[in-house]
Amino acid sequence: MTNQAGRSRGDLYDSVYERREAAGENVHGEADFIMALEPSSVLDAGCGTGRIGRELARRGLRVTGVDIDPEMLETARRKSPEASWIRHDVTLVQLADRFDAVLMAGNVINFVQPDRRSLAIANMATHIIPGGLLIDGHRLNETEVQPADYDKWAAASGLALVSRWSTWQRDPFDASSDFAVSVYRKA
Amino acid sequence: MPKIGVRLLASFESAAEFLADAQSLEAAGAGLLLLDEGGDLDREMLLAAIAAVTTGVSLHHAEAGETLRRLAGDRLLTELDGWRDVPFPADRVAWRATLVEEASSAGVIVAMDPRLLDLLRNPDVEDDRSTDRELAQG
Repeated sequence: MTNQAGRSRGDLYDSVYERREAAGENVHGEADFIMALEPSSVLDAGCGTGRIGRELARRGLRVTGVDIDPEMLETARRKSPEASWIRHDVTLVQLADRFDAVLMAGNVINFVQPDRRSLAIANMATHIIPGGLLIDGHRLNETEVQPADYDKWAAASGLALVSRWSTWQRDPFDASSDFAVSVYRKA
Repeated sequence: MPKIGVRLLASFESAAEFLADAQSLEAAGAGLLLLDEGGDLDREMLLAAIAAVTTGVSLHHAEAGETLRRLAGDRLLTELDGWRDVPFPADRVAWRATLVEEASSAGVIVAMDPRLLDLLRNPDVEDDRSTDRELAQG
């Protein structure tokens, strides 16, 4: 599907970040954050166009991306054919691989339907090696997923909170923060 | 709220992705799946495959044979009494309006679209998600 300008929804999404990068902004805050944690394999859950997963693959990680949206995933497959892109629902997908880290960035949890959010985390937790990490980043407001809820769902899946920040640049988190970046470790 | 039926194209490039769509739609609350008249594949066989990977969603086929009848069990609908086809909505507000207008229908049927799952999963979100997409970084 394309809009009037003939660009797919995936390419339109990417174009926002391409413009910001062209203007000199570092748009790879998520990738920088993840590289500091030194995983060798990452499952990019709800990867969309692969904006982050593609950058991680470029930096040498083994990356698998999962997203249900065919238009977003088409962009990922075209721009980074060397990574593995699976079209499925993060609450349902069952992969044979296990990963050092699962990434749920870009507000993914807010896009999951409310009654399946704990299931999304539980299913992703099964794809993490023992001692591996779940990394979440999502916008906070009164109607979206609260950190305390996320912590509860994570704990039920054997994931303990390691650290929480308000940005991918590790700015401190407090009660007034409008974004949460959380790192959980699987037992 | 009326039930929501989804009309899938009777064609695919990837069987895994075709079935993933069916499972995801069921998980997102779709009440009925059916196959479009167009498409190059056998609709009854496709419904049999969907029946095998889903558990609760109804499946429609007007002329289902005994095999599909047994596979789908009481999930099989051979008629669509009270179901109404509706166009794919322009946005989330239009979608909510359609569901209100069709509240007395047995259900509404909409064609599969990559934007549909987000509507089914979170129909009450206020905005069009542009903020979520553009402020993904914190």
